[in-house]
Amino acid sequence: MLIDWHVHINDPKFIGKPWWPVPVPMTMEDALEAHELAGLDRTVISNAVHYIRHMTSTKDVVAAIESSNRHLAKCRDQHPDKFVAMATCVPNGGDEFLKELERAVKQDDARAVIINSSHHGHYPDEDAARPFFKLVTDLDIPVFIHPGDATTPAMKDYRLASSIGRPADNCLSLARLIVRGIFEQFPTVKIVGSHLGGGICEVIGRMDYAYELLDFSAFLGPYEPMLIKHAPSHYLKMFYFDSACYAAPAAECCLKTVGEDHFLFGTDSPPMVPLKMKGLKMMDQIGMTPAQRGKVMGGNAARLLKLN
Amino acid sequence: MIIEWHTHIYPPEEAADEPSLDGKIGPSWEGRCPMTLENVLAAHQRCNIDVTVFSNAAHYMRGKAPAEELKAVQRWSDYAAEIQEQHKGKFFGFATMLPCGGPAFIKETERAIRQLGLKGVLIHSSHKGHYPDDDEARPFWELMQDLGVPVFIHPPHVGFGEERMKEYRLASSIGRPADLCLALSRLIVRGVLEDFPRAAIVASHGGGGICEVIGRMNYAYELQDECYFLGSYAPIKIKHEPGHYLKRMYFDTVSYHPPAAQLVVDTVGPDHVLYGSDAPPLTSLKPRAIKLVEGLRVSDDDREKIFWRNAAKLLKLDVQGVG
Repeated sequence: MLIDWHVHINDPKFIGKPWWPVPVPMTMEDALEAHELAGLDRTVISNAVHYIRHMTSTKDVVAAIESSNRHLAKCRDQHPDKFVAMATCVPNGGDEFLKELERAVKQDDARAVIINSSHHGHYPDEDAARPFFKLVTDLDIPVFIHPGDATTPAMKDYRLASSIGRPADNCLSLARLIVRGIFEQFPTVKIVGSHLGGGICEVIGRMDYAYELLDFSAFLGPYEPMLIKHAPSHYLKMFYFDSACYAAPAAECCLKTVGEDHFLFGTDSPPMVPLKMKGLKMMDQIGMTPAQRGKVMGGNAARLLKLN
Repeated sequence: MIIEWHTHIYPPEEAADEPSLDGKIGPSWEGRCPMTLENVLAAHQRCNIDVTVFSNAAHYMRGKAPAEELKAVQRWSDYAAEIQEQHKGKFFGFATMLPCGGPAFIKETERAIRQLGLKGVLIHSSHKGHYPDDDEARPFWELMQDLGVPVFIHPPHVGFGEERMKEYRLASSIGRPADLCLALSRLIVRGVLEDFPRAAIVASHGGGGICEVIGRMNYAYELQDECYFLGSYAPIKIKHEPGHYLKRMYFDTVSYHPPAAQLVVDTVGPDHVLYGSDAPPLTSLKPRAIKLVEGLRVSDDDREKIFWRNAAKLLKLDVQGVG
């Protein structure tokens, strides 16, 4: 079973200024074409809703997300043997967002939920997001964490907001979930970090010594209240990560860090349409046994999405 | 043989009294600063290191008023030269410099290398919002090419996004490497490696995550028009994809996570990786840093390069068998 975990389709309602520049490479047609090109069994479609950053009222954001959820369900209904749909949610947005998520899962058969690593400066480890994690645990659906648009003026040129800023925000978001005890409070939650976790596998050693050398490293700042019982790397291995990175040594580092049961093939294509085959071929360069390959290329995703 | 690339010493008065973590509030060293000459010496002996390169990450620079900055780096140059002289042939010191600081800092860099004989220069990945690819730093890079000594890029106390990583030491665990990664990526796309091809740039901490995101930088460059939605890439200052320039840099192994160090070796090759521990300050972890290099998936020859040959070349050390 060959499953691409990481493919985006945009809601056609939000195309053009200020939502998304035209042409948008994230259409159902693009996703279908890429699906056929790579010879996939399933494409998991999601919408990272970058455009909600332009919205200020909760009502508008809820409506936009419902519209996106319905659109992706419709795409899936047209191609039920090819697409699996994710819903989108804002985890700290409040009850209306949770109601819409529950609807998308129960009525529209969304099999997972995508959230942004941060939205308007709010991160999913905040207390306001705990009801979200309670809900996804009850629904038993995986949470896909994907970069939003946190950026800083120092990365405004040469696409660095995308190349560096997005993974950095994802990495921070995952690190915050660890130290703020999300896996202690919700030990069964399944969280998938996009893009190898955005660099967290390279800095996990720093997180570990900051925890292990608790008193000695007092100069690094406080670590209170203590919300975890193990080193951060223990919790890192509870995450799942997708392979969208287009650099084999980086993918291998991630695989070695979390193991073959927690690594998922993903391409981020669309939107990166020309890179679909590069993303697929990269998986041949990271030294997996056939059994490992079976898990990474689709088995793990099928299990998470309950595809039988 | 082992050359330790990454260990820090503070001048005694800074070790005694760094005002605070963020320049305003928080605990001071309270007599527990691990970055002392005595601690570095003890770690050097305990772990059977042959040559220790010591530098000063000078996190206190962010708390200095502009008028105090030059004095602070001069003080360190003098102290570093003193240590180097006391422990000749065993300890080699780096100056600490602000590359965007202007003519006075250029002059001080020349003094530190030409007169005092220091072996390289540590710069921060950013200092008060200035990055080493800024136009103000170009005279610095010209000078570094002339001097022919390595530039060691290291995070400052904290870079961007501090307000989002206040708790649980995340400013150190996540913020510092992220700022380093950003600085290296900026050096690449803004053409510093293109314009100053002879500059030897060594990144601390395995580059702070850049080997994990280099694929993103490559496609943002390669798919110029197709990725129009990622933003502008003008004016183009490079002739190759970013990964090409990444391989021109050197990286130390400080990561405390074997797959991360292996990633760096697999990305840039064993000729561009240097053993380092960041101990002191992480004094008790030094044996673990050595063990990490012993466990890398490389040939014995390449392991020797990582443990000392690459560093000896960069430092132009007159060690038998080097060169």
